[in-house]
Amino acid sequence: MGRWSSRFRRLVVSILAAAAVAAWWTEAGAADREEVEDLVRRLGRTRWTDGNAVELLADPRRAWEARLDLLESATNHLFISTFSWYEDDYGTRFRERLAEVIRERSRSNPDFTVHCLADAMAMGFINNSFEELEKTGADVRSFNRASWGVSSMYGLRMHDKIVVADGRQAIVGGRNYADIYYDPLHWWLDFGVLLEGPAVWDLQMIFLKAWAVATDLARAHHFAWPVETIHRRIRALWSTGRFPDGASPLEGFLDERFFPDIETPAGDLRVAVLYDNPVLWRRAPTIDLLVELVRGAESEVDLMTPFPNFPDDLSEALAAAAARGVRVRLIVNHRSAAIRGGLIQLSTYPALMQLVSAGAEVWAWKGSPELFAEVVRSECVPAIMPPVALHGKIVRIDSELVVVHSSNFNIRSTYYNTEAGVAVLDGEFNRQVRELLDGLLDLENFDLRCTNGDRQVTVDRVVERLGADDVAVMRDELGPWRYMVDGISMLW
Amino acid sequence: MRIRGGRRPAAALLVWLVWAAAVSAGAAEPPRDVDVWHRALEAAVGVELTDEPAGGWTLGLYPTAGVAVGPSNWASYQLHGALSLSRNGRLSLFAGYGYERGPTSRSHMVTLGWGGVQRLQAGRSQRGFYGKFLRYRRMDDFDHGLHHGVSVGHESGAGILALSIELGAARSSANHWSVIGQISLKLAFPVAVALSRTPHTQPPP
Repeated sequence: MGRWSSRFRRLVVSILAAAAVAAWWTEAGAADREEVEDLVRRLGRTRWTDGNAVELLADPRRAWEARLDLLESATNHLFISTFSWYEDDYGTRFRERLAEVIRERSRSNPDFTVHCLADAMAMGFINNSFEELEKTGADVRSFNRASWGVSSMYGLRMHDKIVVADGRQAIVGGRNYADIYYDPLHWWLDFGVLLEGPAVWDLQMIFLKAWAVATDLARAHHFAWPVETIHRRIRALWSTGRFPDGASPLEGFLDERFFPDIETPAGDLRVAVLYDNPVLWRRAPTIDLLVELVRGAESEVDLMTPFPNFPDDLSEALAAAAARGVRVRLIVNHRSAAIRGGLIQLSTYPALMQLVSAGAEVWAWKGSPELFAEVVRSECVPAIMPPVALHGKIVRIDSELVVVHSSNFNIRSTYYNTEAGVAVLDGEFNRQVRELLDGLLDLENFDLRCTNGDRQVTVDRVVERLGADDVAVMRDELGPWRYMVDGISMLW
Repeated sequence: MRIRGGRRPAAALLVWLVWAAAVSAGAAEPPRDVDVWHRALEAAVGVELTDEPAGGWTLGLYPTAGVAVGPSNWASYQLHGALSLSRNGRLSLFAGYGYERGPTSRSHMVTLGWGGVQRLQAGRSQRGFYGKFLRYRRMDDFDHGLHHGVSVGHESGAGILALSIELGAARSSANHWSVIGQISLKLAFPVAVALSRTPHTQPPP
């Protein structure tokens, strides 16, 4: 009896101890989560919304399909902002499908509204191909801060990419409209999210304000205004929804047609919409947020960008995190797969050299030109090829937070571009991104199946970790250009 | 009437309080009222005030030398000098004098505009220039005599490189017209002199 009593006491003590540890663990986790939520809210200058559904769009085929689905689903309005919109196969197909949707919807709903906002610098100004779209009833505007006299010729890019359908669903991320984002045989790896829930309202509000600014400043007489006056006008609109004279260009949109009620939550995810605009904040809130998140990271940081010419404090935060034992993985393009070569590529070297030296894992995507030559030579037609380069902008911190963005997290995005993205706080979404990145970094010696016959092409290695040898090579290549690359960072 | 008038602010306050409580709890309602929505989300949508006036005046010196392409000279060299005065986020203006010479004419130019020498951020802080301007030209056309011209344009400089675009027209007393349409690439040497000890910008919140 005494022996059983003793065992029982031990069991009770063990259970209580386990419960105490679990409670402490849960409380510590909750405290961490609250801290992250607070950081995102304060530094990201945003709010959290609950009840969202989020789908990560990584596969180019799904990213394309999701966009077409948004077009098809719209019954009241479509809002589209993009950095570039090419006249190649996918760019034209999207434009033509959009024109068809406008024609079809307009028959049943004469108020069907389509607004397209495209960066004028990147698309070589609005060209004739958009006239067809406008004839069907779409409003197409170019976003050009330089021609409005709002900013310098180097500071004019609208780099955010947003699609909103009916105020219910939206896509935001790094993809524009061109073959390179959607062609499964020749694509850049990119990320975006398909959102459903109240976070869509926040994205839509950003679009509507950008649209209002583009409309307002396109009036010629504004060119004669002092730049400070124009900046104050834009800031007033952003912070109050009204221009300084009290007029609000948003009022016509604040009804159930454009912002419908949500009767049933689309999901259970907590999402914060992030937005950067140098007229509103001299330095991108997203970058301030990332720096603090990296400083507070406890176990893991994954960051992918095609242009890692980071502002100094982000490089230093990443290096410090690696030095204190956090696994920092930076995933970038190899020299052989660089999207922009020359001085722009060289401008990324100082950060890469610093991070490799600090012990961070810097992975370089090579894209394997030999593989493409082999596929062509063997007349293999695979369903999908490995991406030729990386264009994704994504950050994963520890086990809960993921940021998917249009920002390259570089100097240009920090000080000169408008950018948009989301922070998603969810362990499952975070795990999904981690597995995707793990899979990407493990891609080695795999077989590419051909859809035409039983042939297959073996792929050896498309990604490699940079080491001390690569630092030496980069230092040599950088040479005297190291004095120039800082200024180049402003351009890209 | 008085009672109804008294109830309206109270009702609005109640709506706003309910809204603010819902937002702070993470729940969200679709925006229906532009003022209520922005008041409730002030922290999220508020812009920063880093370049609101902090009292600091800055004098800018902006000498440039470059080449211009486009009518009426088609290819010419230009020398400019400008002085700018700016007070952060409040006001910036500049005035300058320039000289241009090309195969068909030479011009003396007086420029007035909004803008001036400014701080630019890259990895390190640098100097640059941004301005939009109205320009008067006294143009001596080698074939058609003296012209008076007016043009508008804007100029952007980062470090030692600057680019300028200008559009306008000039007319002679014999009613001969010349189009001015130039793009200029320049070497620039922007200098900023703080005229007061007050910091140029407040630290970010």
